[in-house]
Amino acid sequence: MTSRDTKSVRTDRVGGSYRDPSGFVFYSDGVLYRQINQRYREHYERLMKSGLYDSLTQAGLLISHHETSQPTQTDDGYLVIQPDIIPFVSYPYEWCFGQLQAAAFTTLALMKQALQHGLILKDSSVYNIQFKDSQPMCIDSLSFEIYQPGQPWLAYRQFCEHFLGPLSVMAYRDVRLGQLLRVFLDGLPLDFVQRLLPVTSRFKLPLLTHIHAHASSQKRYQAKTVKTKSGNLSLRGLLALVENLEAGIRSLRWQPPKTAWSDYQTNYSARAKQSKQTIAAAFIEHVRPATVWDFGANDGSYSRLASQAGAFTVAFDSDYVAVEKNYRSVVEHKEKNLLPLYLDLVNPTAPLGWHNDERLSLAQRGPVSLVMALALIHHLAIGHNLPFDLIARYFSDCGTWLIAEFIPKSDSNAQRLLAAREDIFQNYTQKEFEQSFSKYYNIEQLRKIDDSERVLYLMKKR
Amino acid sequence: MNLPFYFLCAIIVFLGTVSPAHAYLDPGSGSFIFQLVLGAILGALVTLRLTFSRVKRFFVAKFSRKHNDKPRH
Repeated sequence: MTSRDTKSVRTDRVGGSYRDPSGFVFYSDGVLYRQINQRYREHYERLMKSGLYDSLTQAGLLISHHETSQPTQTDDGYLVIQPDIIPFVSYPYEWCFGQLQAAAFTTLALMKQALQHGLILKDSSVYNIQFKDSQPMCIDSLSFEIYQPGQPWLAYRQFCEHFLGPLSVMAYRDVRLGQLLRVFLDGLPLDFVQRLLPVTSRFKLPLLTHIHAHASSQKRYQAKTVKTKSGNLSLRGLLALVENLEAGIRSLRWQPPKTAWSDYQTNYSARAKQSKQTIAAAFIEHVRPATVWDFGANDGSYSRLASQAGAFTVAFDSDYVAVEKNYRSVVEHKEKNLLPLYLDLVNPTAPLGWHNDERLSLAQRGPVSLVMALALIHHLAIGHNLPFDLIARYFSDCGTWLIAEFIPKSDSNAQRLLAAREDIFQNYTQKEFEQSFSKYYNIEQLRKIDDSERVLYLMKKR
Repeated sequence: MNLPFYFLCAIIVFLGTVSPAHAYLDPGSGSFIFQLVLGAILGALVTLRLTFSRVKRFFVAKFSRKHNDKPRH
């Protein structure tokens, strides 16, 4: 769960919380709560008393909450709970392959643990999973119901469409196909996945069954009515199905290749890098931000200056390889306060879903204390023809402070961007940069990076 | 793949009934049937594997006992 900026105190129901009649999420005086309805009472009490809640929260698989005395919002309400805070809500189309795979494992772990406690996972939406540090966890406390012997898993299709399908096309075809989740908010239709996958995917048993045969079955029965109340699957069969899905997820791998930007930082000297780190660290120390968005974060070297100083930092990059490497490093070192995410800054995440209110845009999830834009602005200005003025305006919408790096046109990386095109960027000068950004910011500090022509700025929003 | 799959669809005709406690998701007809069939097959495979390992254990134990019962010289 996320808390919004305290300046805009919300008192309303969350847009994406309408599907499940068990309850809903709402804001009251800026605080996020979840109402549990009477019809879910029995299941909630079983969750809490069976030991499942304790087991899952201790394992970091389910968000913790506490019960409140808040009045219910509707007549059919039973109880209002207050979930813990997730510092930043992210979406599967912002995750790298490893993050989506980890979220899939978490979902299956929830299912297995639920069954051990006499409950079952009643939905397997990818949107129920959020990252807290490197750990993916379920944020929907109402995702469990009492298991009845013989009951099949009604969320089986959802799991295949939300996790197995997207991961298989990312692994087999192109990792950038993860962006399809932005279009197919309810998961990738399996007939679509089937068409995207190569024939060789049929040699892998979990994909042959859960994708190809599954899609054929959907097609065969699409116009037929089947009473889902009639149907019995033994617990052994159900567990075997879950184990088989887990094996399928585990069998999917994506190894990041070398890309243009994954070894970007080697383009300047060690002395310059050291100098840049020292200056950036001093700026962060000056601001002492609570939250940071690092745009164009690459492998997250500079994001870590902020996260290790205690600021919750989202490290955005438009290169899947960089995000994957960064995420793997976060997991390997069990790092805190750092969330690597995929973001194409020239087309940032838009509000999506019903009423464009289910999944938030990037800007709606801000603003943050500090925006970092290191070795980025020349890409936006020269690579995407964006005037300094527009860049400054967007950054100032995202956060109060800004650490920005100006790279002159003579720098080898700027030259690389100009190598195959006409130089139409007569306004790309340090003077123009300062003038444009000064419309939105006060320039607080300016430091030249040693052994380079680059300059770091610390600015504060006007 | 499709032949054994559709053949085994017939299994579900003989299966019993149960009502999920609180379903709000549409499981999809084709997905639902497929899950029952696949779950039944995978469950049966687990049962076969367990039975095989029990039988194997039984004979291994018997053989080891006989072997151990031999008088020592």
